[in-house]
Amino acid sequence: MDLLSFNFLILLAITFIFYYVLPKKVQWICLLTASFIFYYFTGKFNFIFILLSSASTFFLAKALSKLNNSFTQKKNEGTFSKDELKEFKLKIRSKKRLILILTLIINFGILGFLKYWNTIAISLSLDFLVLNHRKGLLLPLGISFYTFQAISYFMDVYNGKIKDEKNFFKYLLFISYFPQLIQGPINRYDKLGTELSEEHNFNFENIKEGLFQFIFGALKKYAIADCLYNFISAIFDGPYNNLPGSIIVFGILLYSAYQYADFSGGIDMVIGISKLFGIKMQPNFKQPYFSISLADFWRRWHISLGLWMKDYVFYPFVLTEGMQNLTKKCGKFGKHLQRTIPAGIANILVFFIVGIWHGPEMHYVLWGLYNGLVIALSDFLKPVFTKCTTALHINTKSFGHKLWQIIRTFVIVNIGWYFDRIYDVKKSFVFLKNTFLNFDLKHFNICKNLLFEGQANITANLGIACLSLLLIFFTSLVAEKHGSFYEWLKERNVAIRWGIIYVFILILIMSFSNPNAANVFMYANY
Amino acid sequence: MNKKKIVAFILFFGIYFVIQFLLGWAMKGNMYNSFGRATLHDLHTAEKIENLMLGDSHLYAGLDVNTLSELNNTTFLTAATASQEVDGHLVILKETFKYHPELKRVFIDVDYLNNFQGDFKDRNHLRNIYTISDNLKDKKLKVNYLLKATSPKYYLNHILIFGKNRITGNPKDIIYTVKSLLTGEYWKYRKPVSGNQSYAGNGFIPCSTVPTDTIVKASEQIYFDKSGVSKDWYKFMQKIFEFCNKNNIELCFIAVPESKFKIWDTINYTEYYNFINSYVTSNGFTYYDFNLSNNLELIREDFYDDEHLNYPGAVKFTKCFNEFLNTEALQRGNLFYTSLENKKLSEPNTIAGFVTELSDDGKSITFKPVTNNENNIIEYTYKTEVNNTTNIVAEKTLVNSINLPLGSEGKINIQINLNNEYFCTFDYQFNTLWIK
Repeated sequence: MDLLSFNFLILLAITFIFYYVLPKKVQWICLLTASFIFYYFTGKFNFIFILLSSASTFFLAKALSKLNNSFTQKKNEGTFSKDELKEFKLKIRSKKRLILILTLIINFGILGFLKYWNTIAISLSLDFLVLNHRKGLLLPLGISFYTFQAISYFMDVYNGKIKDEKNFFKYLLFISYFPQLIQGPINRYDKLGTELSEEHNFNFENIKEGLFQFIFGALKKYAIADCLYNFISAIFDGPYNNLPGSIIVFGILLYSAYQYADFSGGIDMVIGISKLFGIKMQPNFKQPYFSISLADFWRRWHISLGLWMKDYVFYPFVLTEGMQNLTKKCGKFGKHLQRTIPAGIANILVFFIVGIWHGPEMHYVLWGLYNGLVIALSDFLKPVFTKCTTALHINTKSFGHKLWQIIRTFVIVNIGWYFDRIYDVKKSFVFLKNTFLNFDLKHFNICKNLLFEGQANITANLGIACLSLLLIFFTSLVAEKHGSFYEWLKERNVAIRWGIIYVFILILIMSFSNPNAANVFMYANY
Repeated sequence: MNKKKIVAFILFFGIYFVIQFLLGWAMKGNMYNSFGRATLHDLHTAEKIENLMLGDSHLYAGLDVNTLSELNNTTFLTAATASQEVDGHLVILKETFKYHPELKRVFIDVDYLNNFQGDFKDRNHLRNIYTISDNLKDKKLKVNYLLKATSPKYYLNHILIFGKNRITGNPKDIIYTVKSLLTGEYWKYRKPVSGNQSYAGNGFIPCSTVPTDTIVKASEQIYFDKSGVSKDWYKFMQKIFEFCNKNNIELCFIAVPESKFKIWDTINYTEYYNFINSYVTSNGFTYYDFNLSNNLELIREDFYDDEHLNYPGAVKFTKCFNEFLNTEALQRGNLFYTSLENKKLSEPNTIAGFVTELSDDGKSITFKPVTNNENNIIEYTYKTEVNNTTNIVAEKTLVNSINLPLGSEGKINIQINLNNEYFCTFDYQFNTLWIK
């Protein structure tokens, strides 16, 4: 069910009415019902996996909680001696670890099986093991997102950050909350779980903001991403394996815009829908193309995944015994290396996992490793860069320097997109080489015409996308300066306020005239 | 909500609808539906319509209904629109009958591709649907048609003034539409036959272009799958039958001729023909396929592409169709071969064209001949022309594929010998500049 489809809008409207008409204490039941209906439309078998994931994390977290309670009880009773208590604590810890391992095996096992089984079977030429996609058993909608969300809940209970939820159905709502099912963001229980359980009053300001955010997201998705999709595909998926650098750069820039618009647009729509119900979701993007370094980029791009990786992979990995030993050994070479070497290794591991999370193909692994390596190296070489800027008397606080950092980061990010978008690894290296060594600008037009031959509405689609990109650039500039574009807009006079909203709506509707739209969210397959 | 908010709410949407209306007016995508608009305008303004022709572009380009009306002293109108399907036939038939109860006879051109594209709920190209619905006068018919034409996911789009497939974003089209609307040119659509398609009145849209290059095409062969015929098609065919029976309208199904290249390239044309013929006749109606006509000789120059007749072709077909009309119903079968195979056998050995197939890696090209006799011996002589240098790659070979010179741009000149005699020569442009 597409977020801008008739069926979805009907579901949304009915849910919205019931949500505010029925007594407040059943608001969460209303959302749970809508989530079930939404998920049913994506395939009935998908229920099995989301229920399995929810039930395993819920009941195993409950078991964890019982263990924690029994320890606290024994401690408070004071019947155990210090040594007995220590022994009891060790017993509890080993039981908790067993539960942790079981939870991880069940959840990542399902995810891994559904996501990677076919690729592994195909790569080992074991065709008889390949499962049929048409059975609808493979890759239930949003499985990567809800699995990570379920694991985050379990880990937070495990680490004692939150208390376990007592009501399974409330927990099920947290996992299956329908707007976030398509492509996230990966929410945390302490924030979204609480928001979903709370009672919400009808608030006209929330509705206005929600609708604005929804339209803004739809503009990105339909007027940019969908309009650009076919052009990108024509450049990278065709038989041409030796294209001139100029057309490749053009394609990568389009992909850069496409990916941002598709993903962040979808997230904006999700946040907007949630706002209609008075539920506040954490932003997943924060003007990523204004980042001043790759590490900064990953703090602004797919923020919820970055935070998840930081909390559940980076820190636990850095705190392992082996890594602690390594940190101590590196201490001999100074504080800088003591910090950067373990952090660099952890970063490479994190981005390797991020790559695999995107898909089991080699190009994703390369893309992940590229990001990890660049971040590790830039952290490692930071003193060198500082010395250079000092020696060259560069004012690091000037606008010029910041602009340079933004452009540099944009280029680095875009080099990464080569590995992300070009599925054939060899081709991605040839294209990268041609970008620098065979730019061939004079053939750009001929090549473009050849690649786009047969595509409908080229001028219209590119025109709508460019116009929308300019608008998004403007809104990003405002958001970067003022924190929120919506808040800034609220302060303007009615002519500007309405004018901007009209432009958004009209361009959005205009983009529907595009008959070759992609119409699915890129991250819906993750 | 207080009073101020309600006023602001109404004002906001009021201004929005005005802007949307103005933009929708300017961007109505005239270039795409102007012929449909003109045709249905003629349908509504005609004094009398006794004979109605329904179908798609093959019909409106291939049959001169004005000549037909003159010759038969009656009134013909072609209400064909681009890619019109069976539900489109029904709604236009109903609309015509509502405004012209004198309607006596209906001919429906059953187009091979348009009618068997699957269930209506899977349709996603809406322009052809809106070409019809936007120009219907009867609101009830219009709503019924739109409700059944697509899946509910497009209902929202149906009511938008501009949305998917409703407008054009092409600045040239917008300027043209605005200009023609302001000057009144928008409604002056009748034009004499010229090179490009033009509207000649009563739904006849001739085109006098003769393409230079119709011997080669890049496309896949068509295969008719009887099991894939949608339930919607059967349902709407039955509705057409019922409507005609109920209102005493004579109904006849036809197939407007297409080029040999197109018809012979269809893998199981006979199976398709038999399916339509038996379905229509079993329901008490008749079907005549003019691709099997024995008194219509069409050559490549009678078409403006591989499936549409141009003006000279339309003149020939109109003459043939007129003879058909003036033949006793029981004798009409004598004007046709009983199968495509029989028609093919009646012709001397020939090649209708070549279908090109570029390999997935773009490094080689195959020329598949479309011929009326599988035993024909076809020899190929390939010459490549790159940077003004000509190379003979192979001479009189039976191999119908060639490896393209990589990293270059140019053409391949192919000479064809059929059964040891020169048949034709054609060029194939290639570009492998960006393939290693």
